[in-house]
Amino acid sequence: MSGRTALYEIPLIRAGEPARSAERTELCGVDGTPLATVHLAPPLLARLTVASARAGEESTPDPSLLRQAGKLFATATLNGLSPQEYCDLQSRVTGVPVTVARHSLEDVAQTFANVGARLAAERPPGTEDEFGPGVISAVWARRGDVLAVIAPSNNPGTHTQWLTALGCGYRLVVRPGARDPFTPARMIAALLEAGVAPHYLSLLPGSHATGDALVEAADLSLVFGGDAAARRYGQDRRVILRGPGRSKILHSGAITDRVLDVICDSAGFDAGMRCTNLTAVFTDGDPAALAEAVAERLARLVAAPPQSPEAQLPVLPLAEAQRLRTYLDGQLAGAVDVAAAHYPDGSVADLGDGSAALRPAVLLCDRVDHPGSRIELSFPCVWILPWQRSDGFGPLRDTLALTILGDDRTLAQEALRERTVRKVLFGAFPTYSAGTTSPHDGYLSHDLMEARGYGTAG
Amino acid sequence: MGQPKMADDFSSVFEPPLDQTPDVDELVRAAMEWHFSPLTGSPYWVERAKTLGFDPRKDVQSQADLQLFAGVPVDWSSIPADQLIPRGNAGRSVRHGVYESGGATGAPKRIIDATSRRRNVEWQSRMLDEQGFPAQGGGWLHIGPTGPHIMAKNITSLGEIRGHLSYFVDLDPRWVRRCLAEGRKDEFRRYIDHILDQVKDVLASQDIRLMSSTPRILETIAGRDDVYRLVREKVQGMIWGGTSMDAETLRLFEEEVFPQARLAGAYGNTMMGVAPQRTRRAGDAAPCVFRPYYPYTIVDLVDPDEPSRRVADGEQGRVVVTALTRDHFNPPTLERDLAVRQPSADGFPGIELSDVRPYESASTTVVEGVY
Repeated sequence: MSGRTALYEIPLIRAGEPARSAERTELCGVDGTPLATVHLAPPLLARLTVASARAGEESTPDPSLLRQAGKLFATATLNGLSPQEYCDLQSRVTGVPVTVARHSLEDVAQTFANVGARLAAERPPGTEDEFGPGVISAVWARRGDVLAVIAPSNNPGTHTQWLTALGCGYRLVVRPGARDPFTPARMIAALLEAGVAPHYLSLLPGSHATGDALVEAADLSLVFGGDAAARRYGQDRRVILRGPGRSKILHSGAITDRVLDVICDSAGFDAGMRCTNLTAVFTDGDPAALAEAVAERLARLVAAPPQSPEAQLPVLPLAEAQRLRTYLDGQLAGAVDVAAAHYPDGSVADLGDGSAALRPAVLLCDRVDHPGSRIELSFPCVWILPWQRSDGFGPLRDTLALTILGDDRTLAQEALRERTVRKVLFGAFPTYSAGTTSPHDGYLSHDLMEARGYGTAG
Repeated sequence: MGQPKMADDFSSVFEPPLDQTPDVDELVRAAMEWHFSPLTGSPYWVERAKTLGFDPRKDVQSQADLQLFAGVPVDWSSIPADQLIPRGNAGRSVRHGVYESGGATGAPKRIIDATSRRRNVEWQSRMLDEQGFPAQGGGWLHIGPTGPHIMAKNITSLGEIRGHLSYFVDLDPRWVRRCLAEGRKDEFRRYIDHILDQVKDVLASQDIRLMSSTPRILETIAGRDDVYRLVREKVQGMIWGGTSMDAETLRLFEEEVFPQARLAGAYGNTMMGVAPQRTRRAGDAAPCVFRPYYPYTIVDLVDPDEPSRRVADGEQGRVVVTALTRDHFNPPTLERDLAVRQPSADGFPGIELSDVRPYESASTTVVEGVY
């Protein structure tokens, strides 16, 4: 690049209207190239924006409108960016391989199109929109009007979750993750262009303090985050927490190619940054043999700059990548990284431009209660632990998605009885597999809506 | 016993007419003589002088010589306050008060003040006149620390000078900080609501025309309809201070939230006094520029990584304050704040600053969990 090119600009969106801020920040690619100026909302603006979202008239968007917006998201030039330009920018700043953003275009469009079906599926039978006079029945009613979304930056697909809320009629105020304001900005542009009422959509990039003010001002909040977010908001009953995933595989029986496919796919899909990517494998077979085989396969994932089509691993600024690896090394507690032997030039792949890809780690543990099963990092990083049937499901608690590999169907039934396992997949389903209307972490609309009695005398 | 050198000997330096600025070196010499002479100095400083390794009255003749105090830490939290009263004040028949800092960075610091801060406030008041701040009549409501905090005394003085009655809603910043530090958000919210209920009561029953508080409290007012409506209706002037405010928040307050009121910022703390917002000028690099009460308060901005280097105009630095008044001597002290140095306007001899924010040493932690 010669000199400094003009930076792409992301304004705030206040109740559908773009707005500039006196506070701004510069977003750089993982290689350090400045790429975008992001306008920042202070906490005060969070309060003001929630107030103006609240003040607007009721105008819940029709699902057909959302379908139209999904098409625009995948195909139109929005905010001055073609779909390809958006993918390029998103991947260069977040370090997520560009292929993830590219297939997300279609995935996101699908999710938009599917909102109507999802709402119908999630709705309890027995609730009605209209019923005749003289009947007292149940209506499916919102628990509030404004939903704050404290969003992440790990995968564009995460943002599709708040579409359900829009379909329920919530006015949304989104505080994007620090590295990906692009995806929600594009979604909001598509929704506005499709005709969603402006006050239903706001985008406020900002700090933790802005997030706090937003959570305080909104009726309900959807907060994506790890343990830190849980500590920050865990006591607040108006907050719906998402993440971490700590998804797992429970393996019993032989180590076959099929088994390795599912494990490696679960770990490496979308560069391993989803909450439904694999964190730990519990096996009643030979953990060392399994770990070796998994490491050998995962080592084939390609380290390359995120904007290149071959990239399969997340990329960070070099120092950050090293810090993350050093952190992992400090958490081993006796576990051994059997993947390291596959990388003659180290586990952090220096891409030579200031950035580095994180190569997969496969950590062989010697006991079922090794703390590694709770350590979820934002790259393919799999803990392999020995497990016996007599260990039960205790070690598998707090799991977003659990795949059970083997032929023991009763294990799957037992897993379903463990409440903290949010999804059970029996057989060769990678952990990230989802049906179009299956619950991700329960049905979101069940946190947003409630059944209330209603009747009109005849 | 011979008559000691009396206060009046220094009054042309400590208390000249407000529009006259004493020569800074002359003020330094006067402050050294006053605070360190066994005749007029406080027991604390006179005693401390014996172990300094230099003689302030001889060796500190200029602003530059104040550097001798660089290795002299003062533990303001533990000094018995009566030891800080200058003996020379005994002949001036003034009333002393003990004032404490908010304790944001540890145990509260304690200082003594009799009349010096009032001069600082008179000077602030002149700046408010220049900015078209309403005066004469009606009440001034301060929502903030009272009790041991000097802010309450300052507001009382300001009210007297400008012809208002002062009203207070007391806020305990130490309790607020404790709630937040311990993650007790609910308690914090209830406390703020308790404060706002009291604000509402004063606004609804009294002729309040001016207000002062922290940016955070002003924000919570914007979020409470009942109180906000009363403020919009009645309040014509507001002073904000105590914590920092970013440029966008200031713009929102001025243009959208409280467009009916004049707003003026005030930077400062117990140790340095008030640095009011200087009247805005076309071409200012920042919307709010603070002017310390030079030379009684000398503010310096230094490179955070290399504190011996002063930063240039437009550069961010860490705040160093020195206070030289008749009641209080604060040797050059590195404060917790960062600020940007602004070129001083209209020949003002001290430095001016903007974009004040707390200094947080860079610490990065690995974020665990995928979301």
